[in-house]
Amino acid sequence: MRTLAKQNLEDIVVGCSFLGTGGGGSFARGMQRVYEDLQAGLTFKLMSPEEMQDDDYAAATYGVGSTAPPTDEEKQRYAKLPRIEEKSTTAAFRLLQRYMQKNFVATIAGEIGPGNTIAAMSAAAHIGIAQLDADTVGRAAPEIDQNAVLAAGLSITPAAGVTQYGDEMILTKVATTSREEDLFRAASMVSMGIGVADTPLAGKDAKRKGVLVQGSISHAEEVGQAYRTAIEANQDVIQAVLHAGHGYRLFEGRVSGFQWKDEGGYLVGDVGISGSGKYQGSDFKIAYKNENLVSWRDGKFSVTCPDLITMVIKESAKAISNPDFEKGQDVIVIGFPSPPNWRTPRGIELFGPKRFGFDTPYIPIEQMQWT
Amino acid sequence: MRNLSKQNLEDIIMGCCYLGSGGGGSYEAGLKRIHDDLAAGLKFNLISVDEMKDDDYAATTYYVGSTAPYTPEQIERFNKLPRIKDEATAVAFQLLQKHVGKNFVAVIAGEIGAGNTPYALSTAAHLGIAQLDADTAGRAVPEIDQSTIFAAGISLLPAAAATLFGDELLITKVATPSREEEFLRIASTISMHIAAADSALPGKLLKQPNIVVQGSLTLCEQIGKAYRVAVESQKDPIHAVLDASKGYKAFAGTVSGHDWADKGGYLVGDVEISGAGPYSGQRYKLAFKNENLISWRDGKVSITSPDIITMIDNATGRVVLNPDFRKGQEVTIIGIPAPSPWRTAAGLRVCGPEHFGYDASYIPIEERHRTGNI
Repeated sequence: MRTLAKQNLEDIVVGCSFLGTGGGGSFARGMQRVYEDLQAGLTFKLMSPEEMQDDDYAAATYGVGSTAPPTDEEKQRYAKLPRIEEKSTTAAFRLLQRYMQKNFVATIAGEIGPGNTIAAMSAAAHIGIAQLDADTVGRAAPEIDQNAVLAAGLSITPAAGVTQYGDEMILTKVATTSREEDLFRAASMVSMGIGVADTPLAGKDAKRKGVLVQGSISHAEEVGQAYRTAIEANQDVIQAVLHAGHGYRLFEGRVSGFQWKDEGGYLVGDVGISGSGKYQGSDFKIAYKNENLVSWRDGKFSVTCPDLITMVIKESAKAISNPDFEKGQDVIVIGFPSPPNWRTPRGIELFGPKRFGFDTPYIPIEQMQWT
Repeated sequence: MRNLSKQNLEDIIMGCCYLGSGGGGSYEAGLKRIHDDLAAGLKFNLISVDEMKDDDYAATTYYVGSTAPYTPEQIERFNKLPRIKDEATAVAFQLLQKHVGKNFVAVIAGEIGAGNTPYALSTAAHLGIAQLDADTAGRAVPEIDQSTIFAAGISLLPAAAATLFGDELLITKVATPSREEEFLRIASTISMHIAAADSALPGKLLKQPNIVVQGSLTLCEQIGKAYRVAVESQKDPIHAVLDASKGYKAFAGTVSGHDWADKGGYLVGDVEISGAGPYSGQRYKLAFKNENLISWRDGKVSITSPDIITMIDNATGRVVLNPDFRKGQEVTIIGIPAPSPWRTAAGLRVCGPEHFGYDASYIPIEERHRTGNI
């Protein structure tokens, strides 16, 4: 167990921005949350799965928002309802604990992303327990099905939901994984949001290889730290990030065009880059659904999911969130190997390029031929 | 405990029509459900509240449907989901039982209605347990608030719910009582229907007065039997039903007009009748929200909820459910006293005429009859 200092937390947010592959929530919101929570005197603790007792439990906790704005009639009705004092995510975590009657010692992050990982850590700090040094993806991912615990054949239920008014519910079983999201989103529509706690995991399972992505928060911290120390020492920042993340430089050039749209709540689009320097005469394209998923060099498939593709601003070496790129912007594209959890047949089925409609087999980034 | 024969069950469903106050679900659907279950070899047992041990439990189970039409995208999504083989109400009931961790011996009906009471009976038969000879309304009612358990100030929670796809959930706490229905209804919009089970109560509590309407299924059976025997022996079925239900004849005449609409999932409207025979020259009007709630004779209040108001077709002696009346139909209006839980202050608060927005105070039908004011 380790208490995280402000600098550790900042490093984690920065590291998450490189591992978020263009998604994973807002960097600014992540940083803001760290400062607000520290200001409020909260303590952030990190514990490794190894530190859990076999019958200790950890669970994920997050908020599900309503997409439809409330009508005046709804606002009036909600205004009459009582409010609970704690955050709804905290209340949901406590409800799950009460329902299962187990000792819950840590929260699990739902993914590695600059906004969303910090949201999980903030929930842990509010509850007053540790964040597990692990998550269910090892990067940011667009869909609820890209969850390593599910890929390992374990269940995300029971799941607890609590509204800000104090309504409490427990999903004991779901027909399909996406039904959890459907049902909690429905409940959030009559509650202006709902706090959820799910994926209760016993220490013995959390420690098992291939269930969680272990050490992922420390890994993000190392990447963020490498970024910071390289800047401080006037060294090549991208080189330092690639070294810490065991990544590869894929392309360099100028943003030549892009398109994107909102498709059922997802940001779906692509961005094209014209090569410069040693890549002069070549072009590169990245397609994304919230997160970057596949890439092409000169029309031929390059790195694909589940491996990570991240676009970086050449001048500042900062990771770019979709769709914050600009035409004419000088960028560098880097890639990192995905966690081993996704490199199984089931993992490829849930997170390979075919899953998102791209007709190409998954070739691990290490096996790609670089020219 | 008594095993119900096909005839007992048919009598119960027929009796439910008369206590349905114009609603309570389809008679044909109720009858079909019971016939299907009998054909499948299921057994129907009825136990009285007094037969329950103090620490035995019973609970209600019912479906919450969405009235909003589904989009083609939703239907496509529903079609991709798996379907459970069991009755969803039975799944919800079992989930509730497991969560509460007590010995559940019977199903409590949510109301008395020709379509809805057979649902409870059928769920009990599917679960292999008994139907309690009791329900939480003693008639059919439009809203979830009209539960005698709720009126007695007892929480309906925990509630269990199950979808046709195999999702299962528990509601363990709500900010206000109406939030339970709100959650079930919104969940039903993404699930076609959702089955719920709640009001898990021990025998000790159920035996107390005014918690549930005791003996209500037996009363239905008596009314249904009275109807059947009268028809078989060529006697007046309406008279027989009034006898069995301790009811009063309020009016007779010809349907002269009606007006109704779907309002937020409720069937809301009214029907007018021109008097015939001793009522010649008089006009009668019934207003309903799914169930008949109030009636007027020549503009003066005749009968109000929670007392039961039922329209009968003169030619057959059978009940006319809303909105199956037609212009020119010759009908008789009868009133039946509400069960005692509704006649308490708490009962009237949720089931009296004021609750439904009518500027009338409740006067028991016996009192109205005695003073010649029906």
